[in-house]
Amino acid sequence: MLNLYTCKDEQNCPDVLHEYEAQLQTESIPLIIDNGSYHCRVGWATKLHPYLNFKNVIAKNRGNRKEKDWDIQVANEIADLETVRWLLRTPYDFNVVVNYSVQETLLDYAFKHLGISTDGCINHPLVLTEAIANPSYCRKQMSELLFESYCIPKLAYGIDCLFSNGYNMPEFDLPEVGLIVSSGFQSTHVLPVFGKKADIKNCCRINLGGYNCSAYMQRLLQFKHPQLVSELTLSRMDEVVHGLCHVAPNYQEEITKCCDIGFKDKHATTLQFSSSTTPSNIKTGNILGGPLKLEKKLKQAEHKLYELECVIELEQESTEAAEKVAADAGCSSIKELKEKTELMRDNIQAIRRDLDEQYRLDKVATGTVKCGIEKCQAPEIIFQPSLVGYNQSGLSECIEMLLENYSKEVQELMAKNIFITGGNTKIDGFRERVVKDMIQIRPYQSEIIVRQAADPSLDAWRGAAKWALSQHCNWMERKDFEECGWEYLKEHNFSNMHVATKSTT
Amino acid sequence: MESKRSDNVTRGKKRARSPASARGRKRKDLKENENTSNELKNVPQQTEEVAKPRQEPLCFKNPKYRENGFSTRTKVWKNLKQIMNAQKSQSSNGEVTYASIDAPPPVKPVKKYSDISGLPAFYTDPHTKLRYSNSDEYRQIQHISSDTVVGLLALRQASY
Repeated sequence: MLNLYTCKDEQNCPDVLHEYEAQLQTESIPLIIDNGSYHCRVGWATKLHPYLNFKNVIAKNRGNRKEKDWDIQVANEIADLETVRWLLRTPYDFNVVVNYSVQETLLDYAFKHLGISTDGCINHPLVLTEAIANPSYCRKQMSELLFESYCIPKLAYGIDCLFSNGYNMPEFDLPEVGLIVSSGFQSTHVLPVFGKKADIKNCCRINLGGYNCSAYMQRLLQFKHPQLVSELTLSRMDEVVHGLCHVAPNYQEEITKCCDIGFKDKHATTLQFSSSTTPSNIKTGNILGGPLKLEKKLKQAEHKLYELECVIELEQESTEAAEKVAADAGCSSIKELKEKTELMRDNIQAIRRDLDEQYRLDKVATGTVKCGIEKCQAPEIIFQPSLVGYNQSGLSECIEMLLENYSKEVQELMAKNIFITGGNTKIDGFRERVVKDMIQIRPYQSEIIVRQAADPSLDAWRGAAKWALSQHCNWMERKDFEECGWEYLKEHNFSNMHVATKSTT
Repeated sequence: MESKRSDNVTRGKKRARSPASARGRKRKDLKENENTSNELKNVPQQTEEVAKPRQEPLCFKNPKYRENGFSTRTKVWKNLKQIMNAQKSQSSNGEVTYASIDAPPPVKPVKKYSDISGLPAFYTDPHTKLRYSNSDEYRQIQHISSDTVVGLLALRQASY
């Protein structure tokens, strides 16, 4: 029974230019931007959904530098990411914004598509999300950009997973004690919450996220199917990881099951690509050895075998001559030579078998890829970073380590209040795996409750919107920055801690 | 290389139907106050539609900032590594920095998996340093080329 999956290859639709409603203008409704390394979600705080949800990239065609004619396409203006894959620029370096020219272009795009038409300024307070422990240097640049270039009246920063957690509580607020697991595009964080505030000092960041899962999946499949290297694009891998992959509750068990041919046939999915747009580049070298290469090897081996057999025939005529030739061939005696020929025969048999296997595989329809064990391997890297060579603890080990920092009573409360958010956690079985690992860590029969956000991708935006309209909100104004410098940050329950940089003498 | 192709061969074609030109047209309709600091381009235009200079500012942006703003200057931004190092040298002990919340190395010994099949690997090939779990895989390893070996090792950040 073949499980067939055809890659949809969805193209991006350009964003609509929204109307700048009069009501939004007069009441100074806050603008909420959930600025993520994967997508950027922009919208008005009073609405239920963000108006814009676009991939946070631009495609910059360098063109002729002197004449400064750069062809820039932003976000959803790019119909197909794969055609401009090498031209893509993002403001992010890992999970932190470092490139403010690109950020400016993206903000221009966002504000323009919201329909803002006020002259010389944007008359709305702004809430922006940032990474946990975002360096002050980065925040400074961002504040400067927003106030100087867009002249916003008020600004507030917050952490996306905290907003998401607050949104998913019965009353919008952080829990007394809890543990947040946030797995995004570039990184995964484990953040304890203590006393309704994030305990950032005890936070833990694993430098792997959805991007790494897709990239790993891509390379695994490319090694096994070198003739389809150009078909296995990152966009398709994103689709596969989101749709087909699942996190194994017990990884060792799952992969040994995948070996069994009966299981493989039943559970493996065959990926199909709708159309081959680019000609496939035949990659040299392959795990089994490409057919051409194997043929060559076979020929060489057979030639050698023939030579050795000639020597054996020679022995029957004259032993001396045979011994001389054997010595030339590097064998001390004729017996050794005979043994060598036996080995060669076995080797040739093996190569013949491999070649047959290779031809059999080639006969299977080109443009299809069988995905079996890879479906479990890709998401597993979050739990075992050593799979991709990262020298970090996995997610469960991080949780165990963080819980040790608190007293037994607090640990119990935290275990009952684990919250999972972030786009990468939408992979099948993520939550169940966390539950299972927690059962292994915690004392026998202690209570464990793991909840997932209602909408792991958008709840951060919704949380920020709710926060902006509530009385918890803590705005920073331009005059605060003029007094205290651009690194100023007003701390609140949903924000980072302020870390002052010492002035260098 | 695809980028070179798009630079030299298809650039003209690309610009003809580039959404940027359509965007330029849309901007014209949307803008209320035209900013007079339009820099005219000296480049002979390849298509009529791309008559709009790209540095056209949007109405909601502060015009004073644009003159000495980011876009006109080619500023080299620091990358994350440089920022992290700067923060490390400037911060005192015990403070939370971006680098300090990095997950530490694992305490438990890591499990090894085969580079060929993904099964638990009990053996390592001393010649290529690849891991394998049974003799069939070992045979396959003997046939693969050196660049595949390098690629497989790079997948788990090991060197040949």
